[in-house]
Amino acid sequence: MLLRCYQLIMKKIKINKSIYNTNDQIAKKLKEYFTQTSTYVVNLLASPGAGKTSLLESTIEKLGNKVKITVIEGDPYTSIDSERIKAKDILSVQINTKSGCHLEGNMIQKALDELDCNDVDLLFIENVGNLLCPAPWDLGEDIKVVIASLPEGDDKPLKYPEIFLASDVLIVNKIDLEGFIDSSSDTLIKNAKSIKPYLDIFPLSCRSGKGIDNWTNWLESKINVTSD
Amino acid sequence: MHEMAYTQSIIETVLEKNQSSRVKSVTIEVGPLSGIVEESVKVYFDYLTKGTRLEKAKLIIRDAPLIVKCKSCKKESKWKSSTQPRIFVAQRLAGGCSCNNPDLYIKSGIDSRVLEITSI
Repeated sequence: MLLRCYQLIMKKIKINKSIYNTNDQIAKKLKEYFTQTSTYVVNLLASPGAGKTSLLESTIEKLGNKVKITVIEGDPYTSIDSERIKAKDILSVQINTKSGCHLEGNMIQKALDELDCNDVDLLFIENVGNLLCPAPWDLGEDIKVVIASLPEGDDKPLKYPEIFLASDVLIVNKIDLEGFIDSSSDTLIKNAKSIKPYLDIFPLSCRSGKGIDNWTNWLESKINVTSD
Repeated sequence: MHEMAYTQSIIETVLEKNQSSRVKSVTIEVGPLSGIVEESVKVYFDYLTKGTRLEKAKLIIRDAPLIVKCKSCKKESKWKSSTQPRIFVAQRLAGGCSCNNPDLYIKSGIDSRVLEITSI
């Protein structure tokens, strides 16, 4: 009897919401803010050591005197990357995620307390080095760019398909090592295209500078389009 | 590693929907590619719900289907547990669709959802 009464007063409530729902709401607000300030936002994804900060340094060298660039740096514990960006006379806001393996919208919101995007044409968000966790977390960006470097192996798109699928651009870094190691950029690109046929792909070497212009020219054209 | 953020999001979603009554159970659906360790979510759930309207609620976890879908003809293929989920996705995406469209996407399996709650 008691059980029956209990069952009668129990209510079932349908929710059916993604667990990214809270983050997606924040990302929507971020996107509105970036649109309002005409800031082109790049969410930069890669494993540790693929060359995220090196790509930023090379990009800043090419575009820094034409475009106002700012960087939000995600890193578990240190500000080593942030210091490298600051050495290029570029504003860099550090987010330390502690044990956190990816950036979330609320962290970007907090970082924006320290910067006014009205003065920023191009905002890079360097995510935490990780090919798994950052993929589904929207940060209000215009594009996701994934870097895969040759020494990591040319099979990475097959092992981490969701991050390549979520990305708009693939940078193949460290192509100066082609021939010295077993992995090949052709195989890497073929594997990435098998996951996502319409990726924009830029093979380059941050170290030698080869291919950097193709990337920065493309990026510059994107910024102009959104600023218009 | 990131389960605390996911669990927090589950709790916030429930509290937002259910403003007053006591929650007895929460049913969630976890995708095979979500990168979520179910045991960790259970531990964080018990810890983070203390002192809230969800305290002592039962967390029921179901498997979400993993589905790859063609953007053109809308044909779906569903993962079966005989292969590894990431291998299935990579092979499906690489193979393209039987209608010759190479452009496929993951319709379900990355996301996790709060499905329903029971309250008193």
